Formats: sequence, C-alpha cells, structure tokens
Amino acid sequence: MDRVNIINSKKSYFSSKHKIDSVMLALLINRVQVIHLIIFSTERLQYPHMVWLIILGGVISQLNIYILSRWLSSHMGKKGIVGIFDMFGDVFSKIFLFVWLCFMFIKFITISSAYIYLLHKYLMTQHPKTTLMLIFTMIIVYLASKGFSNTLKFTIITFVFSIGVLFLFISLIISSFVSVQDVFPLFGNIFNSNFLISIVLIWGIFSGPEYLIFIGPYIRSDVNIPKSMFIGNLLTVTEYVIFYLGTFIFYGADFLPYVQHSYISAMGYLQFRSIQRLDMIILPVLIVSFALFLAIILLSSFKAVLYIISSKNKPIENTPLFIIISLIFASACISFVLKVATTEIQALFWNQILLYVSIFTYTIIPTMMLIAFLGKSRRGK
Amino acid sequence: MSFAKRYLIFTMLVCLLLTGCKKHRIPNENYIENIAPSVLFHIRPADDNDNIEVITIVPPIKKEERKIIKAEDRTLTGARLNLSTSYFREIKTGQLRIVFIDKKIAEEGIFDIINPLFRDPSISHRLYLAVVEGDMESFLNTTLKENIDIFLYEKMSFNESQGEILTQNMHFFLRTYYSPYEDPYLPYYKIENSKLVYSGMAVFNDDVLTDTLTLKEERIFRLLHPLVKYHKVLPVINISDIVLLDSVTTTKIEFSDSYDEVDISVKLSSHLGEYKDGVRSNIQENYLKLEEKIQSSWEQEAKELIKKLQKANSDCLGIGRYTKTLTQKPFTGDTWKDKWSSLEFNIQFEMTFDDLGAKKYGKNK
Amino acid sequence: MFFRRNNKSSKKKLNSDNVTENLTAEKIENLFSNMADFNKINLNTPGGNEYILYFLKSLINVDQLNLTVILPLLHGNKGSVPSSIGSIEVTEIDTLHKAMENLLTGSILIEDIVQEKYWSIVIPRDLSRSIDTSQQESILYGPNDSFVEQIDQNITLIRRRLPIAQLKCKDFTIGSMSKTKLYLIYIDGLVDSELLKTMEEKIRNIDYDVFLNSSEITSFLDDNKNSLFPQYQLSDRPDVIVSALSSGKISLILDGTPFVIAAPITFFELFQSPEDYVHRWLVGSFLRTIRFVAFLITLLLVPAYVAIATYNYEILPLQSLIIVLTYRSNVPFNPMIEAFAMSLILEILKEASLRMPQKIGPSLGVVGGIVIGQAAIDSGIAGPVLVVCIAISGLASFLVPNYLMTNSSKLIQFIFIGLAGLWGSFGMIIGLVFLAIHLNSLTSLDRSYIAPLAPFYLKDWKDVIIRSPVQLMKTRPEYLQTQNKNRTSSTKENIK
Repeated sequence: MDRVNIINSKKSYFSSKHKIDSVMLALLINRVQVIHLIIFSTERLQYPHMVWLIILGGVISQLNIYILSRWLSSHMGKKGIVGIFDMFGDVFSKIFLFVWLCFMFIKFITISSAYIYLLHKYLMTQHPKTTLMLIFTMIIVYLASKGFSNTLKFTIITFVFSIGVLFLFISLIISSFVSVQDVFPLFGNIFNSNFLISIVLIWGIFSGPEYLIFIGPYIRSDVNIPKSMFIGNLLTVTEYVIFYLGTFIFYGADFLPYVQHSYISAMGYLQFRSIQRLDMIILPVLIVSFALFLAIILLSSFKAVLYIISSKNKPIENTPLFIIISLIFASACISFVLKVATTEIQALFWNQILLYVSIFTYTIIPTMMLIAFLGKSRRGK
Repeated sequence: MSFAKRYLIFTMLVCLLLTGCKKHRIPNENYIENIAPSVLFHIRPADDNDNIEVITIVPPIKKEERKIIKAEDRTLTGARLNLSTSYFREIKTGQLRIVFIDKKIAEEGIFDIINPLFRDPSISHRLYLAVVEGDMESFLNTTLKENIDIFLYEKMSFNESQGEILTQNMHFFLRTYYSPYEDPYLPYYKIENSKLVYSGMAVFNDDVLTDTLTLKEERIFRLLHPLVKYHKVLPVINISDIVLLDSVTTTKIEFSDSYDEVDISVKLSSHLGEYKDGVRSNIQENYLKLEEKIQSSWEQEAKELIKKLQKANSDCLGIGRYTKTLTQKPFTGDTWKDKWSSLEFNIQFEMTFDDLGAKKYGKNK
Repeated sequence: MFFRRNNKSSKKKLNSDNVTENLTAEKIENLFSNMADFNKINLNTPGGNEYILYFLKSLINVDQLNLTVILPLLHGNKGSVPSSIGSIEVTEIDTLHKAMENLLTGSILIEDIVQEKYWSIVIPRDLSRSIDTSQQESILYGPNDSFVEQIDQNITLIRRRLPIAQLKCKDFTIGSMSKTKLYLIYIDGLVDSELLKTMEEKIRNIDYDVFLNSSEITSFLDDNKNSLFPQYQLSDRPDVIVSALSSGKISLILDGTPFVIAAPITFFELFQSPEDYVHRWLVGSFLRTIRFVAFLITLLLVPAYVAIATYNYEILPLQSLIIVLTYRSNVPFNPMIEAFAMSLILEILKEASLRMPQKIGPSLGVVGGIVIGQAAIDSGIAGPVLVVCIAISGLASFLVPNYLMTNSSKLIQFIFIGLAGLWGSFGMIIGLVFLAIHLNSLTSLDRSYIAPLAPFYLKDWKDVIIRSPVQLMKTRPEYLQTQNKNRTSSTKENIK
C-alpha cells in the first residue's frame, strides 16, 4: 500500500523488477511443502518403517519437481501466465484458468481453516474464530498487496522465523529417557494394511510446488532452476524424516496414534529455565509459512481472474479488483470456518478434502505439463 | 493512498474491533490478579459416594493467607470447575505442576484421571505425578504456611535431573501406558506422623496399581533400568555399610533365540565413597573381594525384585522394548504381557572401582 | 484521513516578470528599498572615473571589500574595472534579475558611470563556525571533526579524505525561496549509474519553497513516505560519509545544515556505528550484537510483560511468575493501561528534559525520575517490575546509533503494547509479522531494505552482525551493484 515515488513507474502488483535468486527459490519450495506437515503431522503412518515410504515419496516428488522446473526455465514458462496461453491456446487456457481458480479457492479456504482450527484449539481457546480468521486474512492481504516479487522475497524471512522450530525439535529428542529402540523395527513390511492410506498421505504432503507455475518472470535469469528446486525438495525430505523419526523416538510407536497434532504437542514439552510453554510462541510463528503460501495463491487467483476477464495483451490491473477478490476470499473463509468447519469431525473431513485436492493437483499439473511439452515437441518436429 | 484502499482498511479495522462486541461475549482475559493458578492438586475418592474429590491450595502466588479448598463431582473436570465456587477467584490450571493421586483410585485404574489432564491444552505435559497413601489433606493443612506446593514442585524438579528420588511426569507415564512392551510406574509417598515420606515406587499393570516397591528395591530397580545411567549416591546396605559415589551404569539386555531367557548384564563403575569396618586396612588388596561381594549381593536382590515384578505382572523395566530389532518385532499387542511372567532371567553385575579413596602403599612400622 | 483530499500545492514564482529587464540605478534602489543593510558608496578616482558601489553589508566581507576592491579602484588608473581589480573574478551584469541574484548571494555591484557598465564581484562574508566535535556521534579513538553549515567547508573536509579526480560533485539549486545549494557527490566509475539517474530525477522533481535541513529533503526523495524506518542516513561526521562514498553510495550536501545525506541504506546499517571499527573485531562484533538484542528488548520487553499479565501466565516458570506478578493485585488498572501510562510518563520525561533550560534540568530530572518513579510504586499506581522493564527498554532504545530509529522503535513499542493487551503472545507475534512484511517491501533508492538477508548475499554478512577484520572485507556491498567490486589491489581493475 505504499507508493513507489520514482517517476515513470506505476505501482503494479506484478512488476518483475526485483527478481528472486536461487537461495530464495529453494527455500520457497521447502516452505510451501512444509505447511502440509504442520496440518497433517504424521500420526496416520503408524509404523516407523514407513520412513522409507517418505523417502520414496520424496524421490517421486523429485520427478514432478523436475517437470515443473523444466516448465519454469522454458521460454513459455518464463512469461508466466502468458506462457500458458502460448502453450494451450486461448480457449483452453481460459477453461484451465477457471478450473485452476476453483482449486486454488478450495485450497485457500481449507488451509486457512485448518490453521485457525489449530490456533483456536491450542492457544486462543476463548477467542471467537471470526477474529482469528480476520487477522489471518489481513496478514495475507497485506502481504499480497505489496506485489508478487515482494511476496516471493518474503521467503527468507519465513525461513528464518520457522527454522528455529526444527532445531528446538532436535534438542527435544536428545533428552535423557529415550532410546533408539523406539524406532525399531526400521525395516519391515511396507505393504501392510496401512499402505494405501500412507501413500495417499505422503503424496499429499509433498504437494505445493504446483501452485508456483506462474512465477516464471520473477526468477532471475542466471538461476539454475532444476538445481534450486532439487535442493528445496531435499530440504523438505530431510525435515520430514527428522520430524517423523523424532516423533517416534519421543512418543513411542504406540502412543503416537493417540496424540493429535504431534507437531504442536511435542513443542509443548519444551522447557527452558526462563521460558516454559514454548508452543505458545511457536504456534503463532508458524503463521508466516501459511501467509506466504496463501498470499501467492491470492495473487495467482488475481492474475487468473484478470486474464479470464480481459484480453491476453492488455490486462488492466487495478486496485479495486484486487480488493474485491481479497474480500471474496476473506468472507468465504470466515463463513466457512463459522458454518461448515466448526466441530472436530467437520474439520477432519475438510482436512481429508484438502488432502485429496492436493494429491489431485500435484498429479495432474505436472502430467499436463509433460503431455503438453511432448505434444509441442512432436508438433515442432 | 487511494480512497478505496483507505476505506477498506477502515472497514476491516472496524470489523476487527467489533468482533469483540458480540452479544454473548466469551470472557477471554486471564488478568493475573483475577485468577488463581494452582500448582498442586490432590485427587482422592470422596467419602460416601462414587465421586472424585479434588483438593488444592490457594492462593498460590500471592502474599495472602492460604487455605485449602476442595470440591467433588463424578468427573475430574467437573470437580475441577467446581473448585472455583469455593473461592473468589477462578482456579486455573495453566501452572499446574504436580498431582498427587490417592492409592485407592490408583488401585482401580488411573487412566480416567490422567486422560482429562492430558487433553487439556493449558496443562503442560511435564506434570509430575505421584501416588500417595494416607491423609494428605491434614498434611497440607499443617504445612500451608511453608508454601508446601512450591516446595514439593521444586523438590521434584531438581530430582528429575540429578536427584535420587524417582520422579515421573505425565508424558512418560502415558508413553509407557500405551506401549505394549512396558508398564508404567510412579513414585510412592506415604503420610506417616503427619510428614510426607518418600517410600518407594508404585508399580502398575496397565493402569491398575498392583504392587509397591520399598526403597531398597527401588534402588535395584534403578540400577537395572537400561535408561538410567548415572547414580550420584548408591548405598550398598546389606554388607558392611558401603556407599558408592558417582556411579555410571551400562545395561545390556540380550534375549535367547526362543525368547524364553533373557540375560541382563550391568556394568558399573564408581568411586568408593565410604566404607565401614571389615575392609579398613589394605583396601587395595581386598577390593576385588569387595567387588565380588557387592556383585553377588546385588544379583540376589535383583532376582527377588524380578520375581516381585513378574508376580505383579508389570514390566516396568521396559525389557520388552529390547525384543525389537532392526528388522523384526516378534511380540505385538498383548503377547508380551503373557510372556513376561514366564521369562527366565540371568542377571549379572560387573563392578569396577574407579577410585578407591585410600592411599597406603606400605605399612610404616 | 478517509476522505478524498486535493494536495496539489500551487507554484509561486517570485519576481518572475523581471528576468530580462534592463538594469538602471533607480531600479536597483527601488528593489532594495527598506533594507537597512543596503549600502551605496560613491567613489571618485583621481583618474577621473566615477564608480558607485552597491552591496548588502550583512552579506559581504567588509575588510576584503576595502583591500581588494576600493583600494585598487582608487589608486589604479587602468581604465576599466576588470583591469584595475586583477585578482578576483569580475563578471559583467546587464539584467536586473541577475544583479538582484548576485547582490543577494554576497556580491557587490559596481556601476561604472563613465562607461555605463555594471560589474559584479563575489566577496562573501565567512559566517561559518569553527570545526567542532559532533554532538550526536562522538567516538573516543577516532577523528572528531564534524561538518558545519557552510557547504564549501564541508566539501573541503570530504576532498581532503578522498583526493581523487573521480570524486564528482554536481550542484543543484532547490527551494524557490531559499534557493539552497545542493551538491550531489559520488565517485565516478564506482557508483551504479541507475542509482545516479534515479537520484537526479528525484532531485529535479523537488518543488517546495524553503529547505532548512536535510530531513525535509529526504521526505521528497523517499520511496515510502509512511514508513517508520528512515530510508536515508544522516550524519555529520566526514569519516562516515567518506566510507559511504567509497562503498558506492551517493551523498547529498545541503547548504545551511551540517547533516549530510547518504543513500541508499539498509536496515542492518542502522545498527552500525563508526566506533565498531575502532575496537578489536571481536569486541566490535559483541557491541553490534548487543545493539540488535537491545532493539529487540525495546520492542518486546514491555509487551511481553503485558502479555504475561493478561493472557499467557503459563509461559513463565513459577518462581519468575511470583516475582513478576506479586504486586499486580495492588494496582487498580489493567496491565495494558498501566504499561501505556508508564511509557507515556517516560516519554514526557524525555521530551521535557530536551526542552528544559540547562540550569534547572538536573534537579527536575531527579524529581521526575526518582521521586515520581518511587512515589508511583509506593502509592500502588504501578508495579516495580513494570517500572524496571520500562526503564530498561527506554535505555535500550538509545543503543541504536541512528537517533531517528530510537523514536521509531518507541512508537512501535506502543503499538506492540496495544497488540499484546488485545491478544497476548499471539498479538506480539502478529505485530512482528506485520513489521517483517513491511520491512520486506521497503526500498531505499530502489534497493531492497533488508539487503544481505533478502536477496541473500553471503559475502556481505561479514559486516552485518559481526564485524570481521578489515582485511577480510575485500568486496564492496553487493546490493549497491557497484561497477568495481574489489577494494584491494589484488586484481587489475581498481581506482588509481
């Protein structure tokens, strides 16, 4: 909301003057994937040897990341949303953008209601959910109103705020009354009764980067995109594995299914001489990762709406449209959390929906990109 | 800023502040002067009916006159909320640090007491638990002025890290409760002559208290426990009053192939702190004999302890965890429980003295 | 604030009609009527020439007038003014506007009656104070000269430290009434040309009447006017400005104020002080770390107290809770109001001590600090722990070397107290997140404000939290994108 005072440059939400570099891209991929860990935690994977599934999931997700990185480094990907028009043609692009907009909308409201549910349950039990949701959407709209490149630049601050949680978690594991036997057996029968649910969960946890298909113009030209995205995915896999094994060591394999949201309950055990209930500080700090991802979704929706409404060559970006879109999203969130996602059963149901939506998008988008690439290269021949 | 943006900010701010003006406004402030965050709970069955009674001391952190309040109800949460009716401030559980549970409740099943405490998000999982036998209420009454709740909390908290008195908190209790390979245990206190005396350990089978160990047995228990590695002071009482200091133990547990026998070998290295007569002279020649004596005495006691634990059907030592290897998990569910009573134990102690504390190279005549 | 407003200021032009008017003595006397310091001297030389001197006595150096102008005119018989006065530059004037300009900037006007020509000679009065130590930033083991209000003297101080031909100095005149001189200083071949272009465009678009100090200019040159964080560095120490110039920054000197502007700046540079470079590098790093910690203390200590007393009593361990909150029951207000009131009293004390006359300052300081503080605690208006917290945070706010940041951080503290009183620890974290989003999008001359953090430049971290030894700082800061990145002569390209 601050005006840039340089002559001859209008304020724009999508100006790509400041671009992100390789470190920021890697951290962006990491932060976008980690929010699913916070929401779902790992209670459903009931055996320690499922950690190999996580690693397998990471490897397969790497293929997806590779396809996405090829899209972002191609000519069409570098133009962002205009590249989608180039690749798919005008009519199909508009349909695609409309469907994509619906998915982004669903993801926005389910993720925000999941976080507000956590916050309401563990920290702010006596505050009405309306207030919490309103504050949350104000943060997202404020971040989004600074522009796309500033939102992407916010990744590093997100990382700095939330990496401390990982170190605190490691310090929790190295305490006296734990033994490595709790992670045994580490090699076991992966194909047990829990297999399908586990596969579904893990694949959903790695989703996130497919919402970044529009950030092509904001990446600096000298960035090695496949390498950065690979490193980001690797960081995510490391974090998941540490967290997964850590919860098994800390809780034991049989206590874990009875603990809801082990990510936050484990933080509640931390204690220092001068500060005791650290989860009261850590839970609000986790808001930055959510704000980052949801601001990116908001701006992408704004862009999609612009390109659906107006023509491809002259999109009219103006503030009233942005305000309208953010108001629609915000009021949808608030009514969602008040009417539809209030009780625990409903919240669990919407978490499942979020999982299925994530899996669907994470599978479909790279597949579509791959098919379109192959089609284009065949046509080119 | 443009007009539209200003209007939007204004609207959102007003909406934000108006969310507090709902008709049924939920009170949400914890002004510290209006609440009484209590530190200690004592839970016992009510005298004449099936209710649970909760006793606590208020006010915990003010320089006012203290008194005991109690309330009862069918459920623990109901009793907790009823406490606020006897006092002019609201009793809050955010600073709850220690809960004493009466033995009679423990004998019937302790899980229904602990589960509501676990599910309350304001109670930290580092809550200390203990089983007490006797009339705790009169004890608390007589020691009100000494800030007994804060005293007990501080005592438990330093003992957790480096002390000799056993402490157990809610997280580890529930962990051992849910695991099929081990059983929970809690420290056991008794009220004798209106004093709170630490008298050993309470052993549970799932969540029912089946037996209590004496102080001596609890020492051997801690020696045998694979995760307790450091003992500051270790008296060896049965033979000639010896005290060992700064002992470091390593426990190794090995099973036979059919899981019928288990070998526990404990290696201990310590400093000889104090010893009374019998070995006064020539400690450097006699120390090997001393070691053997101590070892055999401990082995004997350990055998008796294991028998007691098997009779109480409670695997407090967590031996079942060691049946799990990198690739397999032979016991699941209740099968370990069935196996526990029929296991055969071979226990070996191996002791070395790091420091004998005596220096006499030769006799001066 | 919430309704549309038209903020266009009207341009005023003074004396716009007489730019090309011809020059006569009568017109000069009319223009300068009712000015007590306007003097007119008639000179009749023995050689037959007749001269009239017009000048404003308050602006010229009278001694030099006698020596360099009157004596040569009286005794010289060369014929024309420039040949008589050979030593100083003499310019011919033909319009009234130029004559007025010259007279008002410290020149004398000589009318040659015989030849009917007008000449102007610059003899300005030297009004500068002597070079003194800086009142705002003084260091123990370093140079202690500081800038003064005369622009030429300030340039001298800079040129003595950078005697290279690449130190360029462009001049501008801003302010329609004050006609203040502004010098834009940079090192050619080092500074990024985009920075220069941006700065020059901004200066050309300044439209105001009077400029009296540097902060007024910075508000025209800011990218983000509404931010609480300064986007320009103001300093009156030549060594700070020279070090900024050698890193690749631009500097602006304004006539009439000793504070020189350096741009662009990052958030982390607000915590740097020239004293860090005096101490050993480990000690300097320690001091800098303390400053960051002090900034966080200023922002968060009192709001943390409010949050603990209002919502989150579970955070503190039991013994600390007893200490902090034993006296709370005696205080009739709720913690947020109590904190606001005591912070406000501290601000009142601070402002009052700035404005008090020096003779009664110390005694009233005792009254304010000790008596009010002690009486407040004894009567139960405030708790002792809160007073200690406020005192510590007040002192900690002065650790940041940049004085503009001190008051900014105090204002942010008030906002945080409000947030903590509304929503507890969640409110404080929300405040931090808003602050982080704001800092993330701030720019200073179109460079990112949190530069070595985002975009991430690893090499620049040698001078952010720790102060590495000077030999290790071989490159200039990345965010300035200078044309020559190396400070050492180990490569071929460097400034000769």
